[in-house]
Amino acid sequence: MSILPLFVAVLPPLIIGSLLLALIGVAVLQLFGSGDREHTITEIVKFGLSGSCLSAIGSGAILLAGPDLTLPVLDLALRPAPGQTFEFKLALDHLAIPFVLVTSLLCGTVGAFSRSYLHKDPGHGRFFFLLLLFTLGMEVIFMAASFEVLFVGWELIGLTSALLISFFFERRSTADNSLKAFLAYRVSDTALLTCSLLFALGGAEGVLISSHEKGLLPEGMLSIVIPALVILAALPKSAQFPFSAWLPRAMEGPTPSSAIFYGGLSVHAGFYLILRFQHQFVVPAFFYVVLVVIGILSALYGNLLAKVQTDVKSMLAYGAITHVGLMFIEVGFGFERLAIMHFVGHAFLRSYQILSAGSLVHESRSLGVAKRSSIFDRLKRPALFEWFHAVALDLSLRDGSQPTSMVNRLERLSSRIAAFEEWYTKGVVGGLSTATERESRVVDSASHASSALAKEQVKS
Amino acid sequence: MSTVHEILEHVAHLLPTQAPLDVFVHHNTLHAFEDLAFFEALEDAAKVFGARAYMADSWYLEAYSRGRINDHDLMDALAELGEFTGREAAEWIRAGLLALPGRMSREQVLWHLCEDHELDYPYDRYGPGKWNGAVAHETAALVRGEGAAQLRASLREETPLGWTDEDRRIADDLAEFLHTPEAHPQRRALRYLWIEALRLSTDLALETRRPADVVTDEAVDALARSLTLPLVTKVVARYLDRGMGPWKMPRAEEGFFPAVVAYLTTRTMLKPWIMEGIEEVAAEYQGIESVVAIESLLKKQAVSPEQWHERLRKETLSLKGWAGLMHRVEAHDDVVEYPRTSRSSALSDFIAAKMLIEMHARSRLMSQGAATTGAMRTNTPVDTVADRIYSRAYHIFRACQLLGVCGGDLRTLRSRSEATLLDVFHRWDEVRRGRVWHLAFEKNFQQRAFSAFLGHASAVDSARRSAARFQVVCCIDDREESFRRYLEEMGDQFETFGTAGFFGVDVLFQELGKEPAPYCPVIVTPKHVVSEVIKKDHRDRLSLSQRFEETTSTISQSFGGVPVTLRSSFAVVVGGALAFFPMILRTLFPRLSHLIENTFIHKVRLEATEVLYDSPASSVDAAEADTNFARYSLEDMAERVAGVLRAIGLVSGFADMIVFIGHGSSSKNNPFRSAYDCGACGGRPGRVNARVFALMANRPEVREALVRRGISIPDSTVFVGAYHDTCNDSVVYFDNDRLPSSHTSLLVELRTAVDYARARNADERCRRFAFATRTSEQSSLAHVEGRAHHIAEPRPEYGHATNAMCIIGRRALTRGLFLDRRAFLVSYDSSIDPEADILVGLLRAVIPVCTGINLEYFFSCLDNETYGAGSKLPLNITCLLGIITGYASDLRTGLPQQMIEIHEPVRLVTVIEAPLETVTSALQRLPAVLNFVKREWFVLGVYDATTKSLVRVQRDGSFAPWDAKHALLQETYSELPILARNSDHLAFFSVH
Repeated sequence: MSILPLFVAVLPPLIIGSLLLALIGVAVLQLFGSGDREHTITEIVKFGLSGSCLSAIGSGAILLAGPDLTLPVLDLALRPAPGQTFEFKLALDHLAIPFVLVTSLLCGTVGAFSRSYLHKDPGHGRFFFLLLLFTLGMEVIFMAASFEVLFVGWELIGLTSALLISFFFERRSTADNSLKAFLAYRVSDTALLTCSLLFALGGAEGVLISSHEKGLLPEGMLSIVIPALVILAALPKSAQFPFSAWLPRAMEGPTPSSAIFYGGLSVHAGFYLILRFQHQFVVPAFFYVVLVVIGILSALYGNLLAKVQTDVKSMLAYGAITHVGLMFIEVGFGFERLAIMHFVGHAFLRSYQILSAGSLVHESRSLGVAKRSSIFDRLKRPALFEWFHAVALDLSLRDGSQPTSMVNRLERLSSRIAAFEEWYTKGVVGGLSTATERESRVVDSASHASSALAKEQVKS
Repeated sequence: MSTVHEILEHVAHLLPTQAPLDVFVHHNTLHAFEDLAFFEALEDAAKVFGARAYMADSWYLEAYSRGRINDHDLMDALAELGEFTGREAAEWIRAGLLALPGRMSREQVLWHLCEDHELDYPYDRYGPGKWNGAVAHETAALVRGEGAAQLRASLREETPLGWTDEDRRIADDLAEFLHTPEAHPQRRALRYLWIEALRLSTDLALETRRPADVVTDEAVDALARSLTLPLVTKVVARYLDRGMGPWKMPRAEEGFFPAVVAYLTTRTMLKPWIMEGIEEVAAEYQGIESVVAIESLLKKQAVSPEQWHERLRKETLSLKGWAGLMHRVEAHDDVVEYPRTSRSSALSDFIAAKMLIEMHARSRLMSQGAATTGAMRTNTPVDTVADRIYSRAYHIFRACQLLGVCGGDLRTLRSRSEATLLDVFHRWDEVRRGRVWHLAFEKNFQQRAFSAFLGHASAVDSARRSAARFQVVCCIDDREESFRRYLEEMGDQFETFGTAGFFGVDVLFQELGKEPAPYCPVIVTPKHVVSEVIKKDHRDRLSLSQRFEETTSTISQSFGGVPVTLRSSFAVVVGGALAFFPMILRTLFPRLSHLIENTFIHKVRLEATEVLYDSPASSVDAAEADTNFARYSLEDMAERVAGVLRAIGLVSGFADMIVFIGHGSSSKNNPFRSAYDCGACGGRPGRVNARVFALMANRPEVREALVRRGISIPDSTVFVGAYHDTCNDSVVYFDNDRLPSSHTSLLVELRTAVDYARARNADERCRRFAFATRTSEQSSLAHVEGRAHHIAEPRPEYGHATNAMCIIGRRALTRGLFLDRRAFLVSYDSSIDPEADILVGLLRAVIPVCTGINLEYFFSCLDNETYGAGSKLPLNITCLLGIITGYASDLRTGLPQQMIEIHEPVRLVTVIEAPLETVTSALQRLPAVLNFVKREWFVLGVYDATTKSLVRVQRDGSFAPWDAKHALLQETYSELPILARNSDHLAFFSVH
């Protein structure tokens, strides 16, 4: 028994530690290495992920064997300025352990998957760097002991998600889709950040993991605003209604990253936030009502849109939206354990389905594509079916359309800046420069063409 | 003026003809251009499709520095293309090609010169060359006092564009060095050369001013197209969906265009931004034929009738994958099974719908006006005049160093108005350079391929033929070359043959529990049916294995039903985590997965089933009754057996055991799996074909019928059917229980030999695979077994990626020649074919198949984004029949980047071993093949074994003797040490 305390002290920090080490290793190699680094990088990643995996399994065993206790993982007291302290604290408890375990196992497997899948790809090192960063972010979310620390992980997975969607940046559409996800994440980030500020404002402690009794929310308006913000933070992250549009479009990166983000882990981050929040605090009843309503809406939405999908990855994305919706409902009704079980099953299954999506042409049975039959096919009024079909298709195309309104505003701004630049370079600098006759003639013809274009655009 | 219908018919020829991915048959990607000579076709197609005509300059430069292209090849290519106008000009072209820098800005050029010390040390990437000598010469002249005046004049001369500060500093340096020319000869000479090169480049720039870029409303079109891409692809995918989404598209049976119009007119208030208000617009097209709709759409957009063709071609090719599939719906029934009721073709339906949607998007964009102008601006960097001048000057600067041309020489050259020498710097575009480079690249291979064949074949005594105990007949596939080579290395007791892998057995095969499918070349329509049934005494065992398969699939089905039901959610909660086990198994322990599947499914199935192929004795089964297909009659069988035996030249000297090995490929999680299967079996594994052939050839009645046809097979000869999986290198033997007991020991011997050969074969393949541990043949074999079952393996095998050659003739002439898995080997014996009938039959089948494979790889390699499928990593399966990239894209056709990454794009080098008269008369009967070779889509040589001479077919169809410039053939005692070290393509050599 004397050796157990040692394990308790060493194993949990190793979950994070080995990942950090590997991350630094890959970063250094990427920045300063030369030649063929593929082998070295995969070795480092193997070390990091398997180390994290083993220590997660070890810590899980300790925690499940022992009584209901909280294992400290990391406790850093940072002093950003004199007189101020920021406690960066990570911990493990019974609620967190399934999430941490699934994260470690899935990321480990996906790492092994990517070793051969990404072999020879020009973005090999970049991919593994982002994979490690994502794993770290996920573990931080699940072990975060306060809102601020959770926010760190929240940002890491948002960033890696956006960067991996646009992994093949040669194609413009990947950047568009990445932007769409990124915009949804910003909503979520803002809500979460406000939330932790409000806690401080209300004088309460935003402690997310502790062995004490359930905490109390600040009094007054804040007791309504904070739960509402938590839901608002969770919805876009878990692609729940009405923020689900980005998820199907996010399947642009390499398959393993799609599997782990949008099937396995990242899509459950919002769900975890909700679960953790209601687990740790005494929350008002409306919170649960809203959860159930949103869950039902999302499940219906995902299920309806799945009926008109034609490609496997969108299909699986709407499946994920539906299931996370169901998990919201389960939490809403207070079935915490059921929801966790649901998460574990869904994370593994959905990741596996996305990873093996390529077999669908030849082994269509194995992914269980449903046979074509539904109530609507048997409807007496085909017009009604037609209408439902059109609605589903329209909604799905709405999800698929580019984030125009936001982009338009940005575009307008950038075109104004560009016009200013042109005026500045031509009018101010151009006048002063000692261009020879020939050069200015070249510039003239160019500016003539551009002004003609401008006129045309004004006309149209 | 032609009608819309006619125009579309015409344009449709340009579309890819790829079938749904469960059957992949290689074909010439540019089949629409086959009327043109090869290079013309390449360049025309590049314009039509917006593709690259040749590989990038840097690619060829890399090949040059590896020695894959040499100066001989370059000169040969120049001569053949008519670019050779003299020794000096050719030298300049060579230097111009070699010294080409990438695209650079002025700043980059100056950075290279100043920071990389390129003004201090000469450019010697391709050896010192003549530069140092030229510098010494110039220095001596300067010391003597000659040429200094000219140099001073050069420094004084003002350049038309003005100098940058850097240029001025370079000139000042030069003026300094001029005082003591012998002190810093290199630095002085390089600076002088740079100043002159810059001046020359400026002159050339003034001579060829590019027209200002014309800006049209193409930007709006492009934006509209990109915004509507998800929409257009989604509706067409809905129409073609084979069952991915559970809902069928309403009104699909009325045709695509009516269905789309019906959808667009349905009011939901939920249309995406870009489609708002389309209900009214689309309502006008209700009940209108799509051809009429296209016409009215063209008129609405004020396209004049002369431009219709151009416009419709653009519309069609902008989504050529989907358009091709829609076109396929017309002619084939393998895509969707809608009854054709509307008079318009599916393609015109598609174009009409696409134009309608895009037109609306365009008008929406226009109404938004300024809001979207930002998006219409191009993002591509435009190089300025100065950038062009400096990068060309840099090009000249480097080329002159290769040529040994100093600054003074360049100056006189400029004034001597010998402009043609300088053409390569400003008149040669990428296409012209690519043409020379590419021809040189291929010439090099042709040289080596022909000389290897000639060197080896002429040394062989072709009359010698020893009695073999085993005769092994494989497919002509290039992947079987190494397998056959290793079998033959076991000694003279093995003789191998190659013939199209369906072995004459053209059947509709009904596999157990599957839909019947044709197992024969696509051009053949099968008339006979073969079905797989369970042997009577094996029902229990098989049903156990079947139940195992069914249970696993039911489990995964109940989990995976994506539209979530109560049952599937329950399954996910309770057992979803079980998915972890197959995930781990197939990622980390793929070989274990292979062993499990092999033991519990494949082995059981192999032993428990038999095939029904003959009539009428066993015609009790119902399958025959309700189809139009018949079983084989005895005459049918004899005809097929005799045909194959004659084709491979095996009409006497039969061994005791003759093995027919079909082939196919198994891999997991691979949408392109069919592309690795047997092309002669219509993109399917050739399992049943080998099995049925052996069964037929073993029947005494068939043997009797064969005697009547002049082929008498001794009773001691037994045929065995087998199947080679080219991905995991396993070989299985069929119907062992029917083998006479006298031959069982022979089979054991065969197994031992084949086990050796497949392990060696696996090892040879593994030299291409970075993750293989090649400590022994067995570890290589284990690696490929695991690789085939790995779900994360984008390259389960490399398929035909090494194909480059085709040899039609007796194997005796190439036996012992190491061909690096690059050659299709077709057995043919001209001595039994005086009338050339067999040869005609062979060429008619072999040439389209082999060139189809070769050209598909060629074009997918040439421009992987346009002709190929792009990277496999973000691929997404759509409609259960094809693939798209990411969330929404055109349907991708051709081969993915991972399949062609080791391919060398060379046209097929074909050699026929036969007397010249036989080949001539065969070609005369095959005008299509003759034209194909005359237009240079493949290269054809004819080898006559009696005179030991090789001739090559020319562009005009005549034959010219091939001159063996360096017909040196390496010889070795074993290929193994060479294979152990290398992972690249290897030279051909003789093994003794």
